[in-house]
Amino acid sequence: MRFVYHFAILGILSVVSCMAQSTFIDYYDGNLEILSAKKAKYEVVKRWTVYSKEEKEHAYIFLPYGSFSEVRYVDLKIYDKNGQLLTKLKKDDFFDQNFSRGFEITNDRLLFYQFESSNYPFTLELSYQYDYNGLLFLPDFTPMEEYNCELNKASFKAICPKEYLLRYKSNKVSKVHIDTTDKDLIYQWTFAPQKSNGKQEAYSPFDESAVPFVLLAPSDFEVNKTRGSQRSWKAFGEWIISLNQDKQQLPEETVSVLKNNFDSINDFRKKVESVYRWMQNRTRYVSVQEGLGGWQPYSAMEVDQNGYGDCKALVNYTQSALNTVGIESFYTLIKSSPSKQIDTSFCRQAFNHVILSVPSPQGDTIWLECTSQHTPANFLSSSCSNKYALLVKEGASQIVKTPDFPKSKAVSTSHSSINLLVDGQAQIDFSSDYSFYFYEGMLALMFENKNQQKKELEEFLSVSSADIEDISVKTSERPSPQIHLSSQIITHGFYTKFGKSVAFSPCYMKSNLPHFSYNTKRFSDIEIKYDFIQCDTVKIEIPNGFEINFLPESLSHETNRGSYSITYSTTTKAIYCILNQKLFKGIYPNTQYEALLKFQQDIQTAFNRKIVIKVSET
Amino acid sequence: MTRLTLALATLLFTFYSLSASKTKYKLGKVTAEELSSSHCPIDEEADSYYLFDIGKSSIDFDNSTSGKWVIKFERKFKIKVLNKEGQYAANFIIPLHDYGPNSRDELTNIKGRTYNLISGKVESVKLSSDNIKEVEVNKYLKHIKYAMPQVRSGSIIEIEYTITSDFVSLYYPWSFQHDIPVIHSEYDITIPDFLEYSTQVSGHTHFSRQELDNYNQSFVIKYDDNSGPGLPTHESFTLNSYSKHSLFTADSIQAFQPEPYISSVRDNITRVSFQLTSVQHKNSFKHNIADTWENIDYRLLNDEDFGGFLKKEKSFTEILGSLNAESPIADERLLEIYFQLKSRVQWNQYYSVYTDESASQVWKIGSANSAELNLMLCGVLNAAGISAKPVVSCTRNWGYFNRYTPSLAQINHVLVLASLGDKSILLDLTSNAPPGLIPTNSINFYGRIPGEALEESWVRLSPTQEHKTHSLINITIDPASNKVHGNYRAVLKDYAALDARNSFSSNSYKMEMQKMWNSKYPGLQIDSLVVEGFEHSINDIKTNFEFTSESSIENVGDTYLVNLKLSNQIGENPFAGGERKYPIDLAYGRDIKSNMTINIPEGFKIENLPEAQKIALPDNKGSFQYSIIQHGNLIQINSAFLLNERIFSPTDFDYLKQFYGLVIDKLNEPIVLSKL
Repeated sequence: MRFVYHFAILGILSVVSCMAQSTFIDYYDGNLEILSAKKAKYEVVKRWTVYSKEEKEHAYIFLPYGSFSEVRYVDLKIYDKNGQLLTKLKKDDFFDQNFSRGFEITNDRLLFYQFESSNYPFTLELSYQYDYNGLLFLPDFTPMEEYNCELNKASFKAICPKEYLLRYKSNKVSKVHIDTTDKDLIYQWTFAPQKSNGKQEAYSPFDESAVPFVLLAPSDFEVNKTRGSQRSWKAFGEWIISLNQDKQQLPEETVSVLKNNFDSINDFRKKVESVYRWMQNRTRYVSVQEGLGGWQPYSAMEVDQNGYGDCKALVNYTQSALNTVGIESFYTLIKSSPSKQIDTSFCRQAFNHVILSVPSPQGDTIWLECTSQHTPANFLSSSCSNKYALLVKEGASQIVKTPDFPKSKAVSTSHSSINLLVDGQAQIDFSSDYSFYFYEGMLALMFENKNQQKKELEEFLSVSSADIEDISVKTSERPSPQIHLSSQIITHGFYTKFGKSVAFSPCYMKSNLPHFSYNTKRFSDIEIKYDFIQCDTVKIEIPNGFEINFLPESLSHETNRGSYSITYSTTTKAIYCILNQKLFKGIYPNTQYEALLKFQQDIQTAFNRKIVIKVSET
Repeated sequence: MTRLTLALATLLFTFYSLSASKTKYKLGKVTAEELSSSHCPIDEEADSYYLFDIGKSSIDFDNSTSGKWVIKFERKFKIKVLNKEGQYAANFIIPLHDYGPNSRDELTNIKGRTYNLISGKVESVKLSSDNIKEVEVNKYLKHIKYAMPQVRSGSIIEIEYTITSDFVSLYYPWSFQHDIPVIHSEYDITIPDFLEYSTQVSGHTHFSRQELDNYNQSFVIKYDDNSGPGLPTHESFTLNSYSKHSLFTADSIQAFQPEPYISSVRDNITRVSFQLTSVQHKNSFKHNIADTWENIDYRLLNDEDFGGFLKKEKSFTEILGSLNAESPIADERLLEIYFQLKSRVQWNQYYSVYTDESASQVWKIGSANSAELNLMLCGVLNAAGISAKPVVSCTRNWGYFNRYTPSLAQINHVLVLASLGDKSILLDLTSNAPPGLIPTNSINFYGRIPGEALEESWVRLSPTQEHKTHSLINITIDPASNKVHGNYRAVLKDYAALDARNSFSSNSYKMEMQKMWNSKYPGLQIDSLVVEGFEHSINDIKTNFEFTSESSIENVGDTYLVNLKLSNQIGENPFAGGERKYPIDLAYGRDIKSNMTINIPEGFKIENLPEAQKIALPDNKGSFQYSIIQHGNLIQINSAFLLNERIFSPTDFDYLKQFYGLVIDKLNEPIVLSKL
C-alpha cells in the first residue's frame, strides 16, 4: 500500500494499477437447515478484510428481513491490522429501519451497520442467523461481490428432510456433494479461491455468470397458511391463482357502469383500451405492499372503494373489469429491471412486478401496465420489455416473452427555424418529437410546471445563456406514443461577429444519444440497447443585406457502430442543414470503447463546423 | 381617546376575523361549485392546492399517567385536486417521534373525507381505518401513512387530526408553506401565563401575528403525596392561568420548490417555530429554561458528552504520544497533528454536538462523528501545548445560524479554533478544507466558543477567501497540420481547491480532468498531465499539461477561426430558468483569471481580434475584464471574472444569469486569421 501511495503522488502510476487492493474474503460459510416446508434457519459466518477507502462499502453490512423472516442474532467483531479488537457489536447495535421509500407502505425492514475507519486494512468477523417462518424463497448464497474481491474459501451447506425436494443452480463452484443420514439430506458446495476485477461502469451488459453463487428454490412451500409448489411454472401459477381467488368481485354499481359504457363496443382493441382508460382515470398507483409479505393483492372490491392500489391490486382490478365486459385477461408476473432477466429454466419466485396480458382474437396480445396513469394501452416500459414473464392461467400458467421495446428504437426528430438578432442573439422556433425509448424518458417532462420545463430545456442547450419564451409539451398516441415539444427560444452567443462576417454552427443542442465519457480503461463490454436515431433539421434565415460567405461541405460517415451526416443546402433567403446521427443497438467489446468515444467526438466536431455569412458586397 | 379607539378597533377586528374564519374555514361542507372549479386562483400551473390549512395548539396537563404537561396540536385542512398529477397530494405522512414514555408524539384523532361531483351530485367517502397504516421507520420515528380514497381530478379532500406531544419545550411548529400552494393558512396558539416561548421565523412569505384576548385557563394537577406516613394519598391542586392567545395568518402562499444555490430548505420555507424560554409559577421565581448563550455554554461544558469528553486529558496525551508531532515550532506541530489525525480517524458522516464514544475508543476504531473528531483534535492540540477551543456551530443545510435566538437546537456541529500567537486558525477534521479555510458547509455567519468571555465568544464564519482559479495558457498554431499545440497551467486556490477535493478522490482527479477537457473540447489530446498538491490540502492544486487540439482551428473559406474556449474556466452558465423566488446564496466569492498567449505563425495575418470588454455589476458586486494586446505575432489575452458578493437577492437573478452568459460568450470568441 505504501508504495502505491508514493507513486500515485508522483503521477507515474496509471489509473489501472492504482486500483484499490481487493477486499479479501478469508472465509464465508453458509449453513441452511430446512426444517419443513415452512420453517428454516440459516446461519452465516464470515471473515473478511477491507484494504482501502475505495472499497469501503465492502464493510457495510445489510441484513434485510420481513414478514416471514427474522434475524435471530448478529455478532460483529472488527479488528485492526495487528489483530487487535476494535469493537464488538450485537443486533441491538445495528440500525433497524423500515425499507419504504416515500409513501410506500411495506413490512420489509433492514438491519444495517456501516463501519467507517481511516485505518486500513481492518478485518470484520461476522456471524448471524435468520429464522424463516414461510419459505416462498430460500436464501441465495453469493460469497463474493461483483467487483474487486478476492475469495479465499467459501462453503455452503443445506440440510433438509429426505422428503424435501431441494432444487438449486450454481456457478463457479464445486459440484454438489450430497450426504444422507436417517432423516436428512445434506447438500454441500465448496468454492475454490477466485477473484473479481473491475468496477461498476455505465452501459455494462447484465452477466449473471460473473460471480460465484448457489441459488436455491423450494419445490413445495408453505407461507402464511398457504401451500404452493415451485416444481414447475405451471404449478407456481396455481399458487398465485389461489392467492387471487375470490378477489375479483366488483360492486354492482361498477358492474353496471362497465356494462353500460363498454359492452356495446364491438372493436376488441377499442374495448380493451376504453376499459384501461377508465381504470386509469378511476384509480391511482399507491404502493401498499401488504398482505402475505407483499404477494397477495387487495381485492377488486377494495380497489373500487379506495380508488387506489399497488401493481397487483390494479392488475387484479383491471382484470375483473375486463372480465365483466366479457374479455379474458391474464395476471402476469414479471421482473421489472433495466437489465436483469429471470432464468426460465430455474423455476422460482424471482419477480417484482405484475402486468396484465390480454390476448386478442387476432392472436396477438395487448399488454397493460396498470400502475401508469398516462401511458397508452400496449405500452410497456423499457424495464418490462423483452422480458420473460409468467402468465398465470388456470391449469396452463406458462413463461411468455414480452415484446421487445417498440422496435428497439429511440427516435427524436426536430425542426428549428432560426432568425439572427443583434448582439450574437438568435430567435429559435423549436419543435421536436420524441418516440419509442425517448418517449419514456421525456414523459416526465410533460408533468413538470412550465418554469421547470424551461429550466430543463435550457440545460439541454449548448449555448451560454438562453431565455425560453414559451414551451409546450404534449403527448399523442398514434401512430406510436410520442412527446411533442415546441418552444420559442432566444439564445445568447449564437454567433460571433468579426469584421463584416458572422459565424455560427447549426448545432446548438446537446445530443440525445448515449454519452460516453473519457475513461482510461474500460473493463466491461458496452451494451447499447436501442437503435438511437436523431434527426434535426435546422433552417437559418439569411438576414437582409447578408450573403453566404462560407458553407462547409456536406459529409456523411458510416461505421459498424453508427453513422452521422450533415447536409447543407441553401436558397437566397435561408440555409438548411440536416443533421443525422445514429448509434446502433448491440453489445460492443470493451476494446471498442475508445472507438465509440471517438465516434461521439467526430459527430460533435462535424456538427459544430461553422457557417459564415457576411454583409453583401452589392 | 386614541388608545381607546385603537383597543376597540382591535377588539372589533378580532371578533370579525374569528367569526369569518369560523364560517369560511369549516370542514364538512363542500359545494358543487368548489368541486367543479378547475384552477388554482394563485397559481395557474398548480396540480392541487390547499383551500385552507388551519392549526391550533394549546398546553394541557395530562393526568392519565403519572402526570405530565403535553401540547395538544389540532390541524384541519382542505385540499383541491385539479388533475391526475395532483392526486399525489392525497397521500400523507405524519411523522411521530418516540424517544421513550415521556418524550413522544401520539396521534389521538384522525378523520378525513373525499368529495367528488358525480353526475352533478356531491358525493363523499370517508377515510377508513383500513386506509391508515402505521410504519415503524426506526426506534425513534413512526410514520402514519394514509392515502385518501376515491381521489380523482376535481376531488376535494378534507382532513383533521390531533397530535398530543410531550415536547412542550418546543411547543409545536407551523409551516405556512407546502409543496403545493396554500390559499389561507392560520395557526392559533394559547400559552399559559407561567410559560414563555421565543419565536423563530423563516422564509420569505409574509404572515401576520395578532394578539387575541387573553383568557382564563385552569389546569388540574393530580399527584400522589408520599411525604406522610402510611400509604401515599392522592392529592390535586388547580393551577390558574390568564393565558396568552395569538393567531398567525398568511394568505396566497406559493408552493415551495427548492432552487439551486439556496442555503437550505429550512431557511427558505415559510414557517414559525418556538422554544421555551422561562417558567414562572405564581408567587415564585422565574426559571429561565433557556436559553441564553451563557446557559447553553454551561450545559455543554458540564455535559459528559461535551465538556466531559474534553476533560479526559490523559487520553489526549496518549493519542499525542502515538503521533509523530514533535516539531518545536507550534505552527508546524499544529499541522502535524491535524493531518495525522485526519488520516487516522475517518468522519462517519454524522454531524453532532455530542460525543457517543470516548476519545480512546474513537482513536482505536478510527471513525468518529463531528463532535468526537473535533473535540479530540481540540484536546490533542492542547495536550501539545497549542491553545485550542471548541466552536459550536450549525452547518448550512441545518439552517442559517441566528445568534439572537439562543437555542441548543440550532447547533449541530463542532469546529476548533486554535491560537498561535496572535493568529487564530479554524480547523475542521470533517472537511477537506485546509486549516484556516472555513469549510463550505460551515459558512454560516457565526459560531460560538462555549464559556468564553463575551467579546471572544463569537467566531466569524464568513469566508474571507474566494473560489480562485488562475490559469496560464500558451498556444501555438501549426499551419502545416492545422493543429494547435499548447501548454496549460492552472492553479486552484482556496474554495476552488476545496471544491476539487470534495468532488474527486486523488486517484480519480487526473482522469476527471481529462474527462472534463475531453467533453468540452472534442479531440483534445492531453500529454504529460501533472497534478501537484492535490493530496495535501494545505497546498494549492497545480495542473500542468501539454496539449494538441485538432478542433481548435477551423478553416472557413479563406479564413481560420481559432477557438479560445480553453481560457473559459467558468464552464457553463450555472443559472437556468426565468424565475427566481429565493435568495441566491453562493457561499463564497469567485475570482477566476486567465492569461492566454497565442503565437501566430509566419505566413498568417490577423483578420479579427475580439474586442476588449469591461462589465461591472451594480454596487461592485462583481465585474469582468477582458483585455487583448497584440505584439507582432503574439497575442496576449487577459481576463478576470470576479464576484465579490456572496448572497444575491432573487431580483438579481436575471442580471447574474446574463452576466455569466456575456462572460462565457466573450471567452468563447475566436480569433480570425487568414493566410498571407
